[in-house]
Amino acid sequence: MIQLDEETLMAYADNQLSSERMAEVEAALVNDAQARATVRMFQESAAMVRETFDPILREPVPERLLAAVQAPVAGKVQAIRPARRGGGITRFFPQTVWAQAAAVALLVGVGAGYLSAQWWRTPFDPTRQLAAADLLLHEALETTASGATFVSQQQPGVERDIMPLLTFRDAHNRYCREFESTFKQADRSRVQYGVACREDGIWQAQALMAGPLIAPTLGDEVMSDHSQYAPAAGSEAAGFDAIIRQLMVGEPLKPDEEAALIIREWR
Amino acid sequence: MAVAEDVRQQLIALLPRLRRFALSLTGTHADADDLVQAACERALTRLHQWQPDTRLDSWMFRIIKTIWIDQWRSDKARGEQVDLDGIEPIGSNGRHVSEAKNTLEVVCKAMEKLPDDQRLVLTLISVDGLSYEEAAAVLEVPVGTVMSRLSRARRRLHELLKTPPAPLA
Repeated sequence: MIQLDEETLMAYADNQLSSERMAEVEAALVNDAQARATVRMFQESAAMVRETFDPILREPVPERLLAAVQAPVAGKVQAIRPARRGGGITRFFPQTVWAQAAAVALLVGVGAGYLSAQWWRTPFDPTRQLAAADLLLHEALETTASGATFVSQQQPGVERDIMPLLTFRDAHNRYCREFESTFKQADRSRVQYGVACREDGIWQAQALMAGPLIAPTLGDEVMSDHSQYAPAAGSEAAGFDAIIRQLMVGEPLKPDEEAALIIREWR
Repeated sequence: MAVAEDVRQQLIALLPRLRRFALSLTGTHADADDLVQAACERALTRLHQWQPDTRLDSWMFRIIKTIWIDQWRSDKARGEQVDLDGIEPIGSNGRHVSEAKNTLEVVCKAMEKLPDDQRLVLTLISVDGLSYEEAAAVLEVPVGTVMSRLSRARRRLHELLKTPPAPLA
């Protein structure tokens, strides 16, 4: 004889039993008025709950929810990391470029493609990486406040985080932003720093600098890939900050100025 | 990141069910839509965590559940009076609408008295109509757990609702 416990009766009322068990329950219910009352109770409560909440299904969806689903992804994060400038990660960069201010003037205005071929030698195919990265970088810098991170996945297993660090204007009156870009693949990550400027509505990298490849078992201070970069003399002094100072006219934008610009789409 | 247009369309199609789920958890239309909006925003920034061959609705329910537990339950005291918000749909027959509003309020007040884990199985199964197994998958618990929580929830709801409610203030 099947046991007509509460959960079995509920499953019967909800049509969640196999057909054999359902037949067994039905046979047992014939002689059990109390069990039948329990089944009715479950059926009534289910119907009432459904009737209470079903009307909202028939309502038109509010505009703000449609807008939320269709909004461009701005890479919001829960916590804002303090921007790291200098310090923290030791950076190696090609001596011929970064140590000399004169060379910086030469670099500014050169397209990102040239830069990537020369200075960005990573395990990935740089040209293939860059095409997708151009769009990502543009979207990140167009929509994300300094200090917030734009998170994206270009290919399965490869994540790229872009964090704008600073916004300023250059001598050509373009908006420029310094950013930190982190590639994560499997358990490795690589950090890059760059400056991009907005011209004709598009953010394009003007200068890029790769950081060390970081493997988790070795920690920050072990660089597994020195061979690709020549340490610069006095690397800390001739850091990226110096480049920014060269490029920047006036002061960096304050957070509220920057926020207003983002809302106005940089106009 | 180009979020697949197809996924956005799927999300739009899910919105009525997500609103219904959120309404049964929060009790008011305004709170429900706030919850759904927060869930959509979170989903869009984490789309890379969703595996395309899995159910989008289950994933969205899980996000809504998490935000509800993290933000709503800590903000609101248990058993608090459910407010009627002014954004209810207006019916042509005023009296019918006010009866419907009363039912929503009464049922939501009763559901407020359930422990969160019981309320969640109730909303997934009795409101959204998921099977026991689907609900178990959303909540990542065994089917047996779902059934025992559900039977207790419905028993309690039945007791709460069959006694005539106190006059509404």
